[in-house]
Amino acid sequence: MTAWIYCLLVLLISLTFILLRVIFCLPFCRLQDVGPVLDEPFSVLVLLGSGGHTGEMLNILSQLDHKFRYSFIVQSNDESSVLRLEKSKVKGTVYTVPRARNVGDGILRSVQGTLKCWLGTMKVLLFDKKLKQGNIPSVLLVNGPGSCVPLAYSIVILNILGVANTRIIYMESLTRVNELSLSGKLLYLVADRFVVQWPELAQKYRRTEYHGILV
Amino acid sequence: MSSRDWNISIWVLLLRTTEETIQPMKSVLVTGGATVTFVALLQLTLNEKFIFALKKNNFDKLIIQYGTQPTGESLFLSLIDRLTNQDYNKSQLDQIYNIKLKDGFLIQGLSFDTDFVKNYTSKVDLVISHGGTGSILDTLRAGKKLVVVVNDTLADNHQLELTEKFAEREVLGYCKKNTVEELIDQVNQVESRQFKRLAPSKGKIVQDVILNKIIKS
Repeated sequence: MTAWIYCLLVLLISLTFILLRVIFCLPFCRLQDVGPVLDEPFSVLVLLGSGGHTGEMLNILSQLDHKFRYSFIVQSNDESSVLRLEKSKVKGTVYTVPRARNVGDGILRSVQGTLKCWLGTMKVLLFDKKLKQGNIPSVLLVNGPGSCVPLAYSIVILNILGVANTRIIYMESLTRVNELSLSGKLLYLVADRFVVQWPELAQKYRRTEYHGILV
Repeated sequence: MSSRDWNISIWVLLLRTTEETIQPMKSVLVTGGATVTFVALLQLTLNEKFIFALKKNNFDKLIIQYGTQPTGESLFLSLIDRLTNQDYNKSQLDQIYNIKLKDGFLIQGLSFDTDFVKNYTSKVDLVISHGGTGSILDTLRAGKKLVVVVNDTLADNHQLELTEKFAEREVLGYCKKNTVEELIDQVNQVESRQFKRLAPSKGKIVQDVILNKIIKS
């Protein structure tokens, strides 16, 4: 009988610790944002999605003059993103992962594809030597293609496990004026910083911030 | 009326006419996106009524960018055929169609140009465009007047929302419905109106967000 009680006690204590860890890691539970992060050169992981998102992302990155070390994740069917990246003045390592889904795929194929894509991304994140040189990237920068949701949540889990210490920065697309995109809503609570491009959105959502049109 | 009065009124008349002729002629650019052809936009602008309205507003050049799809080129040519029976030629050098109407009005057509903003947007006086983000921003940042015709044939479309938001900020004009009359009305309004300048892009602030230099306001 006492053995059972001990077991329960140990279980309860470990659950409390896990819960505390989760709370500690989730940005919306934090009272204030952490101060400047100092591990230079700063490594930034960028997800390039479909046309419009890639365009906005590269437009914003080309305006930055701080020397970040960029890594890009591109899906294997997205040659146009790679081409646009090559044309722009932003430089960094490109990692290709399997495509999540093709237009017109059924549910089963979509799930299968998304899983493959996620596994590929994890492989890059955890085992790629070049990326590991400076640890797992300090910052994940995404701006809303569908594939950013599984990636961001994987990072959250890695953060909770203590494998990574990556801040997630989400930038909403300029086309979103009155309502967050689905990706935005899904990442609203787990993103450390959430930048929108219209003041109306910033008024509506407490955690977002508005600094003007970024693109 | 004395002969002196007559003299004066003739002078006034002469002055007025010269003033009018001295006004520089203007050009307008129509752009519907790089790849997919925006059919309605081409139909609205390669239109007798619309070109007449352009002439009344002192325009003498209409440039149409019809997209890289082959259907775009054939639509452009068929609309030109309906408009005029004049010959056209396509220059071998830059792949641009040139059609000169009898009264000197020039229509040009091109599929797309990789240096579009530099070669076209920045050289015209007025742009008529679809409601795509890139197109709107490029035009406004080039400091050009803009009338937006929203492409309502696209799936998952935010063009209308986005255009309305920009219109609220008084930086552009847009057609509430896609008819020639509305487009002409908008062009007339835009021509007689001063717009606000769009603020330059604030993308650099993302750097401070990444480095956590600014705290959320």
